Amino acid sequence: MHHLKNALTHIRRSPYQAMAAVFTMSLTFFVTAIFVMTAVGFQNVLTNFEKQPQITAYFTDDKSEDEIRALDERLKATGTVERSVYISKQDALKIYQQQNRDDPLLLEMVTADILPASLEVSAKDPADLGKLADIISKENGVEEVVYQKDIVETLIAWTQGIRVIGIGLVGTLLAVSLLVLLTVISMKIAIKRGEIEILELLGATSWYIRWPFLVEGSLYGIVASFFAWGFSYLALLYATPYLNSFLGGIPAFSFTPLFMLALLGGMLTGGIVLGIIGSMAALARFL
Amino acid sequence: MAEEGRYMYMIEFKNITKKYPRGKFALNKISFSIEKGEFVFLIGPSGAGKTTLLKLLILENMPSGGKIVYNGHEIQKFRRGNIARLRRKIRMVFQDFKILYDRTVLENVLLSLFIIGKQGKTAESEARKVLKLVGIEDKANAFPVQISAGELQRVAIARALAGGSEVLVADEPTGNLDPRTGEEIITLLEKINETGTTVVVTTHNASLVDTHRRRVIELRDGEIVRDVAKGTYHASS
Repeated sequence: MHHLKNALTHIRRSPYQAMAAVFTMSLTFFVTAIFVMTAVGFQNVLTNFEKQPQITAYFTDDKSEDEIRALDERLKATGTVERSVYISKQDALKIYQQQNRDDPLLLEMVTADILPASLEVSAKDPADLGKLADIISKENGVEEVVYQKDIVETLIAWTQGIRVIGIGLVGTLLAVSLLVLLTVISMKIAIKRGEIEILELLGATSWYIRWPFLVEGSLYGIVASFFAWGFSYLALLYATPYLNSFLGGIPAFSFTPLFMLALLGGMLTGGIVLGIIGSMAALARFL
Repeated sequence: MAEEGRYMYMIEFKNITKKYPRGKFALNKISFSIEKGEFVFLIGPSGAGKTTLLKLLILENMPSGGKIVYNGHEIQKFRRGNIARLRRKIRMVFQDFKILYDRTVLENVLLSLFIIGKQGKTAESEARKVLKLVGIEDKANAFPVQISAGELQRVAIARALAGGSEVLVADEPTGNLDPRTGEEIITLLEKINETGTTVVVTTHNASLVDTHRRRVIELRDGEIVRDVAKGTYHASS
């Protein structure tokens, strides 16, 4: 309690240095939170796509339901089909309406006539997907074959790219935060050099002298974590409707409160650790 | 730290040498001892080694040779933790006071008590008692810039006493004070000595030494040239 009081006095006496440290650490944790949420969001999108049928064939309007069902039977006859679902124009409209229920304008513009019927096919073994796609492609009246594997692979590449960029950017910002913290604490040690000398002469242990600086560094980390978490949560709440709409209704960025609390916990732990490391480095250098 | 009263001498310097990097001896094989409750004047010209001796006693500097014994312990072997504990028992008062100017008188004294783990009302009550002992209890809430040099030295003495120090080591405590205030400070140190605290004072002030007639240890060029009870500043007096 005494050390906390001392640390708060340090902060009150040089508020601009404290603000510089908190601002830099907040920015670091904000960017970290955004990248963590983006990476988890992309992972959710990926999981969603992996659960979906592996091949979707869209048919022209002149292709009848019987012809499509016949194609389905031929595919099943190969013995490689795990599951197949026929989606009629009416079913497609229902799905579309469900996905865009919040946008009356989009609902008004679309009728079942302009949506294609489709066949969703999953293979028992992904190795057979090529053979199944081949059969579908050769069928007349097939407008487009969407091969989920390509999408998944693209998403994996994106997710990995985001992770690499995130790690690089967050690593750089962490290094900058550490340097700012080290500079701020070092300046405070230099300012308090006289007091430290007096404390040493009066018989203060080295830890008695160090604790207020360690508490100060940790406080910067804690405050910065709360700021960053708050701002990232606000940004998420603001962007979620747009993101979900953009992702075709996949609720990839609708995180649970538990996830957000875990993120806060992680940021607080990171903040305290970063604060202590920065302070320890300054103390090792100047005390 | 050992229990008190078990040793014949509280402080013993045995063949202590302090040599600085360029080979100059600040202290050259000096030996003396101080009993508990003694009042000692340490005199000598500038550069004689008085301050070096005091710094060795609180282990601000380490001796180049010899032994310093405090209550039976060879303190030059102490590690950091024990050095801190030693400095709570042997407290130093400086010519330049070493007061924190952004704290009140009371807060300056509280520093000594916080260090030993005392807090809150207990610490404040003890700090006020010490301020009363040194005669500045009415200045407790004043800032150092609001009080005189003599009062500043009393704050430094109060801070050194707070927390139950056994030895008070004062390095030229009257050096920055007018003669009358200097006399008041030495009288205060005598009063503190009467409560059982051992006091060691370095000074250039001949009249103070001659007036108070205490044990005098005279240093010259890093060696003890005189150690007399109830001595005067000059050997011929």
